[in-house]
Formats: sequence, C-alpha cells, structure tokens
Amino acid sequence: MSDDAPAGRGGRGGLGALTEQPAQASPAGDVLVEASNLEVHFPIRSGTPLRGTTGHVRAVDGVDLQVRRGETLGLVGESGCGKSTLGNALLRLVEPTAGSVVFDGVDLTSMKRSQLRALRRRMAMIFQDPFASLDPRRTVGDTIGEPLAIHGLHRGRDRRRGRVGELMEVVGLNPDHHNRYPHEFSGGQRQRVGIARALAGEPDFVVCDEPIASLDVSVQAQVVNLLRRLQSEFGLTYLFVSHDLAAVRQIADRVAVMYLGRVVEVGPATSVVASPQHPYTEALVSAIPVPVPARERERERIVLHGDIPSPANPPSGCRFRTRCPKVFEPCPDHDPVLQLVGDQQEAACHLHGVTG
Amino acid sequence: MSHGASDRSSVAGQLEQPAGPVLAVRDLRVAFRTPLGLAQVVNGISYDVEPGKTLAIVGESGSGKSVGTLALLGLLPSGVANVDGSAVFAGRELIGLSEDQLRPIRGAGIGMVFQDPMTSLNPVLTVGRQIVEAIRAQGTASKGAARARAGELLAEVGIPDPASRLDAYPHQLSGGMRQRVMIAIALAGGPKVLIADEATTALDVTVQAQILELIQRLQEEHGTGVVWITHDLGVVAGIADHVLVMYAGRCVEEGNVDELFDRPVHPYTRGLLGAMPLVDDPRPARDRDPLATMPGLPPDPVALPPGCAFYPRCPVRADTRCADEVPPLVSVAGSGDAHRAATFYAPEGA
Repeated sequence: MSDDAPAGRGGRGGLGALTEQPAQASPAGDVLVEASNLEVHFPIRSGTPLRGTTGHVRAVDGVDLQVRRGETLGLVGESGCGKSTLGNALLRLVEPTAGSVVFDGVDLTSMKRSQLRALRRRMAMIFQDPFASLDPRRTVGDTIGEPLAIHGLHRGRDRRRGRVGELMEVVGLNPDHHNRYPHEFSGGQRQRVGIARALAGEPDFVVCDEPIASLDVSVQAQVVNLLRRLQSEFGLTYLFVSHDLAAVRQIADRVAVMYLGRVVEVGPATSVVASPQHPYTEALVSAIPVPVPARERERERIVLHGDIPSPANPPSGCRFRTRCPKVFEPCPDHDPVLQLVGDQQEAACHLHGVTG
Repeated sequence: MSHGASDRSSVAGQLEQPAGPVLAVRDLRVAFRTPLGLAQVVNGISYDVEPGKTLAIVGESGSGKSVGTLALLGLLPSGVANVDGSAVFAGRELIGLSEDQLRPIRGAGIGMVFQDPMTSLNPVLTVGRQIVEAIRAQGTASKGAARARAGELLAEVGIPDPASRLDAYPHQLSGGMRQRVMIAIALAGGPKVLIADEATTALDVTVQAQILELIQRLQEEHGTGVVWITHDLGVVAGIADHVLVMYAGRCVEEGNVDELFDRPVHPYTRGLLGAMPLVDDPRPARDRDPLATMPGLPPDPVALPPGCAFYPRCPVRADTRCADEVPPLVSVAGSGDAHRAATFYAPEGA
C-alpha cells in the first residue's frame, strides 16, 4: 500500500465528519497544548515487602513545552530520556506528579476522569509497534471503529461501517479488507490501521510515538509521507516523538531535544539542526549518519564518552555535564534553564550565560 | 573487489598470498524447507572480503542479508536449511564442514556481533566468565591467563575500569557497554573477519557513533576484514569501502561506496536512497518533497516471480524481458568493473 500522493477518491470530499473541523493550516498558530513545569516520577519499589519506595525515576523532570495549533513539534532524544513519557503525559495517559497540561485552554491535570473522556476524542495516539498495538483477535474494521462506538459517533451499523471504510481509504488501505485480522497485514499496513484508528475520533492533536521505528526504510518513507498528507488535509497538530532526527527533520516544523527528563533545546527544526546551541544537540546531530559518502566522511562526528546517567539519580547542576565536551565551572552547581539564544530558538546551557 | 563465479579458480589459486581476499563467497544459496514449500531466501550471492576493508551488505527485512552470513558458519538449523555454493576462508571451504570442523573457525577465524546484545549474552553469567569462555574455546590458555586477557579485551573495546567490570552481569551494563562486551567476545579469538549483523541497530545514535569509531579503530589496528550487515544506508556511507545491495536473496547492485551512492543504477537502490530523509537538507519540512516510496512488498520467497524479483514493484519496468528473465549482474557501462547491477534498465547518463 503506498498511495502517498494526495488521496484522489478518498480526498477531502469523501471524509464526512473530518471536514467539518475548521482547517488549521498555519504552522505558527496559537498554542494548542502547553505543559508547564511538568514532572512524571515513577516510584522504585524495593523488592522487600513493607520496605516501600526506595527512590524515584525522574522520567520527566520539569518540562515547559508548547505545541502550536497546526504544527508538527518533533520531540527527539535517546532511549530513557523521557520523550515517550512526556508524550503520554500530554494526553494524561500517565498521571503527572506535578505541573500542568493545558489543552486548548482547559487544564487536563485538574480534570476528573469522566470530564476527560469527552475531551479524549480530540486527542489521539499512534504507537510504535504495529504488532503490539492492535488486538490480534479483532478485525481491523472493529479496531478502527472502536473510537466511534466509544464517542457515539456515526451511530448505526451501516453508517459506522461506511465511516470505517472512509477512514481506511484515507490512510491508503483497501476498505474491502475491513474484515481481516492484523496478522494478514504487513507492518506498514498495520501502522496505517493504527493511524486510521487515531483519526476515527476526528482529533485535533495526535501524539505519534516512534511511529516509524519498527518499519523498513521504504515503508518508513510511506508512513512519513502519509502523516504529512493527513496533517495538511485535516489541519492536525502533531507531537512526533522519535529518536530519528533525520525523519523528524522531514516532518517537523519545530524540534524539542530531551536529555534525562529535561528539554535542553527547542526551536525551528531548520535552526536546531543547522546550528544547534546546546552541546548535546550538537553531538546528537553530528552522530546522525548522512547517506552521502563524501559528506559523511567530511562531517565531524562528536563522539560522547560515557553512558547516560540514571534518571533516578541525575547529576547536580546541568544533567549533561558528566558527558559534555564543553563543561566548565558553573555546570555542577547551577541547573540551567531554557533561554532565548536565537530567533525562536531556546537552549538550556551556561555557555549562553549562566542561569539557574 | 568482487568477482563473478567464473573467477572462482583464480581465487583458489591466491590462497597463500596475503594480498588476496580473506573470505571469498561464491554463488551462495540458502533455502528453507517450510510447510508451504521451499523458501528461497538466498539465491546466489558472491563477494570477497579483503583484509582491513569493510564490505557492507544492505537490504531490508527478509532480503536474506543475515541468513547468507549465518550460513557461512553453519549457524542455521541443519534440518531445515539447504546451503549450496562456496565460501573459502583462508584456503578452506566452509560449506559442508561438520560442526566440529567449524567450531575452531568461529571466533578464531570469523567473529560475529549480532544486533541485540541483551539476547546474545547469557544473563546469568558474568561478562568476564563469558569472555573467558570465548578465549579458552580457542586454545589452552589457563583460567588465570584467560581472565587477564579478558580484562585487556574489555580495555581495548573502551570499557572503563575493566578489571571490576569482569564481575558485572549483563543487566548491570548499558546497551552500548553490552555491545562492547559482544565485540570483545568476537575479538577474543583474534578473527581475520568480523561479521557485524545490524550491530548498531538497537543502539542510540550517539552510542552507535561510539561503536562505529571502535570498530574502525580495531579494524585499522588488526587489519580485520569487516562485513557490515545493515539496512541503514547512512552508516554504510560512513564506513563501507564496497557495498552490496540485496533484494529477495539476490545481489541487485554492488560497487565502490562512492560510485554506488553517486550513480545508483538499479531502481531498487535508487528507491532506497530516495526514501531516506536527509538530516542536513537545509529546507524546512514543509518545503521538502515527499520521500520517494516503492509500492508493494518484497516477494514471497516460496513463490519468487520468474523474472526480476523487483519487477512487481518497479517504477521503471524498462524492458519486456523484466517479467520473464532474471537480469544478470553485469558491469555498469562507463564505470569500473566493480560497479555492477542486475537490471535491464539503464538510466540516462549512466
């Protein structure tokens, strides 16, 4: 399946309710989702009964982040930096320990579960593993239709089936396959099922959590193209969580870089990648291989030494200081905060003036 | 660097010369017996591994890139896998050797590093014990001498405080450290060829950069020939000397790394390169064209198409022969002998 050109038959006209939403095409719109001083700490339980908690993994540890209406914000970082937890926390799929998440003017963190459910329709998630995120015993049509049932959309069997068909068509699946089971589909097609399910509730905001990480290169390209097309057709706002900066660069308007529970740099994707202002971003960008031998040999790779410290016990001051090639006096004592370092580009590093 | 099957005799004649390839694979074929029929996973691949050089074998899931190298060392289940062809390592034909004959070659002759260090290491043994085991499997080193050597190997692969790390269990190490341990085990026998099968795929990019640097350093110091199996063309661009692109068990294109990336000929190679987003493209995402995609899926190895295996997905289909004839791997016009492609299509200007 690969029709990643703008959908012909399944284009805007055939989308029913999806077109009822106002199209928000501007990539620099107002703020749709805002996290303020967000923390997600997971308790570490001791193995011994009655000994209780022995510490906390600070997966997300004081994050301020804004996602603007209609944009794609890429969230990059390495394993264990907290990027997926942050994505989950923005949808309140994990409970924040502290701080707030405001979605379209409404504070999610103070809401009751029952109130939250009504808002859920407007947010969706696309998961990494299209094998684990689909129920193997349900037809893909039932999986895609489930959000419709939950939110009471397109009531009635025939209308719902028609809607599922539309959704399948819009993501490039054959609607005649709605009675098939996940194992009958390839990895790329399963990911399209996951995308169709995410679109079913007509969301404004979609968290894409490593949506291409488990796919082959040529299939990755199909899914990235599809996500881009869906965004421009339906005015979606994306948080694109990925460890793959090259893929993020293909879809994101802005990029936030995480390290050990913190956002260390955020700004326009072009400037963050072309002129990174945090030493970690610099190392990360330099480590991304470029499939052009001459350029790849010329590029200076910054090889970081040591391992990422434990998020249960982050270093004092700047968390990157234990591996930073540019570490200097203030780093162990002062915890840097994000400061403006260029046109809409912010970095949390003492090289731009000591903070914190 | 690579030759057709016709050169097989000349390769055999060069065995005593250190300048020749250390591993020469010719027309390797692997098929699995399955309930649905014979799955032809590797359908005749040939390559040479030169000392101190890196050969990259590139392909997507199911292309046969891993199976082809596992077959060399007899690491496929013998009951269900049929292996044919030839693989001459240091003057010895590997295909058809018994388990006992292969054992000394694994490790001492050809070392392997796999993708996932967590599943390749034994979780209930210390890393020191596992390295010692690899060292003692090669000869008669005493336990004490082997342990000392294990410490040296850990230091060589860049593990800080190696003496105390010998007593660590795999779960106590990070992913990058575990992969360094795997490399230490692979190096324990002083192999002439190191096969790295998606060895950095499970690692973060900054850790990948560390491992790539390590492998390149070790390769320079020891003159090891490296076979780097990967799907990541970015990594290939940085480390490979010669590249072989696999599709449906066949080599569809091979060549010197610059030649292959600068002037790819096969529609599949061109498709793969076009599908890769470039991190250093200065344009904002919204100004970029969609990535190139290839429709469809690779063919079922139980029912390969009669002609070119890429034909059902090929955007070009330049020739009437495509559907019926398997295109031979031939030199690309206007290039050195080393750049060869298996396609009837000849792009403009190539």
